[in-house]
Amino acid sequence: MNELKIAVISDIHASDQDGEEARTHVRTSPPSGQPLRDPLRSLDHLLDDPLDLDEPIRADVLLCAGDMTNQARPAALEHAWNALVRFREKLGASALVATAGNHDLDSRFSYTDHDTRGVMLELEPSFPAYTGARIVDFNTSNHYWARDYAVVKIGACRIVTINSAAFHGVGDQTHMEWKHGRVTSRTVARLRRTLAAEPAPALNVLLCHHHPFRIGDVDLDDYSEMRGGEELIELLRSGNFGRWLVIHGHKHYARMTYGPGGSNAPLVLSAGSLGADLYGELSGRTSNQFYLVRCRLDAAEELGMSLAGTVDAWDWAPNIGWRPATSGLGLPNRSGFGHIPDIPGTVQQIAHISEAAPAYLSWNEVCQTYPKLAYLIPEDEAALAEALRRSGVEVLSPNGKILQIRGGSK
Amino acid sequence: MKPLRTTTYESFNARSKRPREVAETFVPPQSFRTLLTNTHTVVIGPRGSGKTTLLKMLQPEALDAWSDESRDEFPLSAGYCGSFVGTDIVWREQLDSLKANPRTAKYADVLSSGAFVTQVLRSLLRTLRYTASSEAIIFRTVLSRSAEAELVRSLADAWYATPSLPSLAGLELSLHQRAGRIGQIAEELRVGNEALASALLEAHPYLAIDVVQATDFMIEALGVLADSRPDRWAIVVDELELAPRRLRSRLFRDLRSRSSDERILFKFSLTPQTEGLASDITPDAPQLGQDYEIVHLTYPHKVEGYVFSRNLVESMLSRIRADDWPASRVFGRSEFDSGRREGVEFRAEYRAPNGAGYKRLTSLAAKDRSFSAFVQEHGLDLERLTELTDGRRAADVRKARYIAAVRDTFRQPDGSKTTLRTVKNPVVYAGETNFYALCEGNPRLLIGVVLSLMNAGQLERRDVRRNVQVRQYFEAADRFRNRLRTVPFAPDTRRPAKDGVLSLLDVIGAYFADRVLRDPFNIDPPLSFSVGREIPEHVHAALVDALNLGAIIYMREKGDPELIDKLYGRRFRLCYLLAMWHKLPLIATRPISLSSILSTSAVSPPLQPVLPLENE
Repeated sequence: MNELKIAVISDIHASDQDGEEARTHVRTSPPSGQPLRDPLRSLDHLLDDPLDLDEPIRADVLLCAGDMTNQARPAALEHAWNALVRFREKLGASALVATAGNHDLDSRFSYTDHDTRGVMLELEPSFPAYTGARIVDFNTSNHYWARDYAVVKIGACRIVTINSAAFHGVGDQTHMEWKHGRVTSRTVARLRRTLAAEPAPALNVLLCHHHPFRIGDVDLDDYSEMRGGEELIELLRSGNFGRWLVIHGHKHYARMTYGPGGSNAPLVLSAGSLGADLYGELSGRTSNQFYLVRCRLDAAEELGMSLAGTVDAWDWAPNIGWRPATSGLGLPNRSGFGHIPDIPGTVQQIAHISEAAPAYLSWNEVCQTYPKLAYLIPEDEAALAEALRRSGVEVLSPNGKILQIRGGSK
Repeated sequence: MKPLRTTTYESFNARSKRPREVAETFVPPQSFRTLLTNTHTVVIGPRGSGKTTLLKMLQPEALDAWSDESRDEFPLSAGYCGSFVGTDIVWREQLDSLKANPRTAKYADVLSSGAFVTQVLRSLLRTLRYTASSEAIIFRTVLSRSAEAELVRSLADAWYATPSLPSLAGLELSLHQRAGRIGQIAEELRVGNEALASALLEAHPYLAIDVVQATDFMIEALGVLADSRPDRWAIVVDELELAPRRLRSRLFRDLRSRSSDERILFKFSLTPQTEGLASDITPDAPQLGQDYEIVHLTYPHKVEGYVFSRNLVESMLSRIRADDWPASRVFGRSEFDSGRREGVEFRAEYRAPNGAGYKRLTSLAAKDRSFSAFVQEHGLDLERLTELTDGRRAADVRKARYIAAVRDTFRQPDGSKTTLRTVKNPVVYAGETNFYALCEGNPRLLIGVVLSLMNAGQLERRDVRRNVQVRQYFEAADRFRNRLRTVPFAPDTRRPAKDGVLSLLDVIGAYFADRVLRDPFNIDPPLSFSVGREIPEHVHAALVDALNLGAIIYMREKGDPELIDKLYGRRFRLCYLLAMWHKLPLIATRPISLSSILSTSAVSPPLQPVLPLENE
């Protein structure tokens, strides 16, 4: 396997309620005459025919990072799960792997009697993983609900799905457990034993709903991160089980960053929401998005990197539909990950090759000379552009993406 | 052919689409040929009539991506390289607020001109960057990197720009930043920082750049530096009616001063009525046919739109359906076009006992005494219509059939308690050409209906059920009526109409419905209206809104002006979607004056001239 393609959907927030209180674009019954003005329904068409790719979008696995519905509404939960099952088929993916979000569990007992996960347990095919192998999926489901995590393997990739909302509905209101995620020390210890039972694969993916550590630059009053997240990250960064890609939802805020740790720090993709009506602080900072993560196992091996890949992102907007992400909100249409640059050294290298170039160098030309630079996360690329400027190398980088570098400079 | 790409159809409004997306679904109307000629051209149409799509198709990126079968019929490479300039609504609002303030009004023109020129130059560069890329085909520009740097240096000098890199992208980005600076100057003025703003104005000579000279310089420089390049360019300005009036007038005058044998052409789009255009049409103003051509995207006579509508619908059907059934079989026959049937078809239509026309006329005659009287007076024998040899009387039959169709559908038999009956999905409006007439050749509507039918699974059937077709049209009519409700109309200064401009249109529709359905049978009831000078200003303004939204259609006849500023003396009809809502036949007959309609309308007491309110 040279490449593992992971389609990522998060925070669909489907609702069967009318009116604006549901704060979502995804309805079980869309307004009459506007069947395509719903990001979930129109995703079918994007998968068949993305505007910026010559081929339909296909993936090896489809991940959903929770909050399929809004306020645990049973009909909408089923609607979203059915859509995910359909997308798995359309993508040609071996598996759909999901996790529960705080909105999926009936933690206020609105629909069930003290059975927060009752509706989810009745989903068909069984939640959280669907591979088409009924018994395997049934076992995965039992493991997930009994031990708060489950493992699914796709080729050279190991996917761990964690239920960070496992304790919602537990305890009295004073604990307000539903306000945040949680992974307990016992869960982490169990997971450690599971991981240690077999050799490290080429790639590990951890799927969870809540963010394992705080995201500091948005919604500063939010403390909903996963309690015990530090211990979980400690496990991932140990390097004992291979390199990790963490994909989470909940924040509706699209961002890619590296977690705490040294050379084994996990890459963390905070997936934007597919369907929520973004309001307040988020409305001008992120957009409704869908992602295709391409983990380039071949390039990683060739370049001596433990992780290398790109993320394609598409934006959805009411009355416009799905488009390659160029809004400047959320993740850009194409970004990389895996290479953590030594910025001063990289500046020197680029300045050196640009000296000989007439007029300017395109970023593609730079990446042909230094292939690892194609795998920078957006904030590292922006930091590199800034450092180049500070050292006197003119850079054209609209929206932080480097386009061209002045030639004959230095 | 490629399967239907609903993503590209999904956004009905071409404004948000990129050139290749527009090309993906583009079906050319006949007028596309005129638009491609090397003359200045003005495209006129209401919202949704496809103006933006047409203009966006003039870009080389769109033409390169266009793979329709009819492509070879158009002389694409012989023409010009189009550079599309969209309208910046936010910017326009900012300028409007400057204009509204006497203290800042003097700066508004120079800023709007500067902003517009900046937008044009950015667009030229974007287009040039595409033609210089490896993807370009038709207008491929070959520029070495050093020639590109040289070109950028020359342009930067002439356009007062300071790109950070000597590349087309660098220059484009510097113009993007310039647009932001112009916005800042406007904002400084708005908050009253006049001294700073006037200093800024002096410091920015680019605000005085002449758009034609600047473009001409680019073409000249390209000629020297590029090994291959387009020699003729068109500045394509969409929604010119939204541009500040002075700028609009100046651009319009440019059509005259820049003759079309030069290497710069203008292609504009306008709504049917654009304020101030009459004053632009002076003897020394550009002359239609001589200095510029006009392309209309509305069809006063519905048949004119059929070819385009059929091409568009069949292009979609061919991507959706496995068979190759033509639209006429999928949607069936249309009663409101039965009058075109002659000879054998006429005889089949009116033959007893099964001819559709025969059944319609006899059904009405059985329940409508006034129609029976009409038949007798005209010496028509409904049982022997196929034997009619008199052409005039056959024409009467065809004409009577249209009125009979709606009377038979909606009238109760004589002697019933009520005159009209409720019909949930009146299938009299179904059929292929009725579909086209109801959509008025408006691609947004046509596409919307086909997509809705597809999503409802109806296009998997051999033919679309007639009641299902009609349900779609009523849903479209409801959406359009809701849109019209949001357009303000105040028939009375104290009381804005609850339904906005729709309340005025409903008065007109109700009047026509009374004449067609409630009055004794009349073969020629009025179904269009003329606007006299006695119509008060606020009603005129509401009609202008209705015209620009496509709710009323200008019935332009030979000799009528193509561009109108005021509606006085002109004839209009309701669009057929509203006509259907009012149970009217989809035909336009003789006009009646609007003032007659308003004065006899029992439902419209507020529609009187607005009088000054006493003691207020």
